[in-house]
Amino acid sequence: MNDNCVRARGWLAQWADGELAAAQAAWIENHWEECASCRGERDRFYGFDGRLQSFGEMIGPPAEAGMARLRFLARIDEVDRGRRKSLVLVPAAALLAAAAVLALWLPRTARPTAGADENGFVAVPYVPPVASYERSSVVSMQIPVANLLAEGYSVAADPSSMVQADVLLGEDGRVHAVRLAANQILKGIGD
Amino acid sequence: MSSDEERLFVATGCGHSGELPARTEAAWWFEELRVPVYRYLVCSGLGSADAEEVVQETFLRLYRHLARRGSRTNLRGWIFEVARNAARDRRKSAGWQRTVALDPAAGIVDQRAGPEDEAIRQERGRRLQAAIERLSAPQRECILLRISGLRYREIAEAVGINVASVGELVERATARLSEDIP
Repeated sequence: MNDNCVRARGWLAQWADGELAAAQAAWIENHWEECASCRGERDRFYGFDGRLQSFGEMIGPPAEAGMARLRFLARIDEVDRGRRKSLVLVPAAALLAAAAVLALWLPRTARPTAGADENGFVAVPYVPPVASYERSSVVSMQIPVANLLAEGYSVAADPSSMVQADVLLGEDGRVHAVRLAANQILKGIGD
Repeated sequence: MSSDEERLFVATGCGHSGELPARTEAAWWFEELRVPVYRYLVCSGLGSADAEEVVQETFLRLYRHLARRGSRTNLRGWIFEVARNAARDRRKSAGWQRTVALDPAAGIVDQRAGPEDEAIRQERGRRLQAAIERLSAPQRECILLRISGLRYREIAEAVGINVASVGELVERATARLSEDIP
């Protein structure tokens, strides 16, 4: 077997389907004229290829083509109906999920902290504590009792008076907690 | 433009497959490959009813793929790959264990033949299927696709190799099959 035989055998499949270019077809037929081995190979290949094809032709779906197509299109419609339903249901489910997340998240940040911590600070109601990574500072000042009452504190003092207090400020200047001077009672909501 | 896209263009008059509604394109592929995919599945050992169901599943997946604007590269190969995987899943399922045809040639029926001829054909079919099972995986794949009615050029597209390589695989496979089934 020489290079021409290798090439001829490589083109057998395309030849069997009639898909060789005219020049290739002429070349391979010329080669077969000269080469008995490749001629034998062609006959064997072509014969067996024919058997494969006729074997395949015996296998046909039992469902008639038109019915099979109708069934297929009906199933596409089912898929589309399911998709349209999900187009309505998915946003609704997303809204419900968002509401659930908010419901879980809001109480945590809004729940008033009652009672003083170990340093005597009482958290401002509905304000989250200073984050662990946040720089804080304490400032002493006079605060109107009315302002503390307005913030939601319960103060055992005259509402028109002023009280001396330390204020815990967050990095952004927000008031997070208040500590009153000795002998004055400050309570958050829930105490 | 691939040869499939050209034919789709001729059939639908649409300039590019991506411009077609997914339903139209899926229906075209269904018409084009329903029978080859069915033959491929039966030759792979699925019973007739299972094969028909897998054909429907395969083209529904194609529809979803097209509707999602999935890749259109080598859809012919994609379809046979999906069919092959769906058939494997079905074989694994409990339901298939119960209903699998004991006779692998049960789906092979020639309506034109009489009972005797039919028996001979079925016997030949069984022997051929058994011989195909003994081929290497690439040879078996090419032979099954050829039996399914694909041209060698189409087999090359489906398998993702060049036509000459398909020719070599089939040539070796047919040499071996000729020995097994003289």
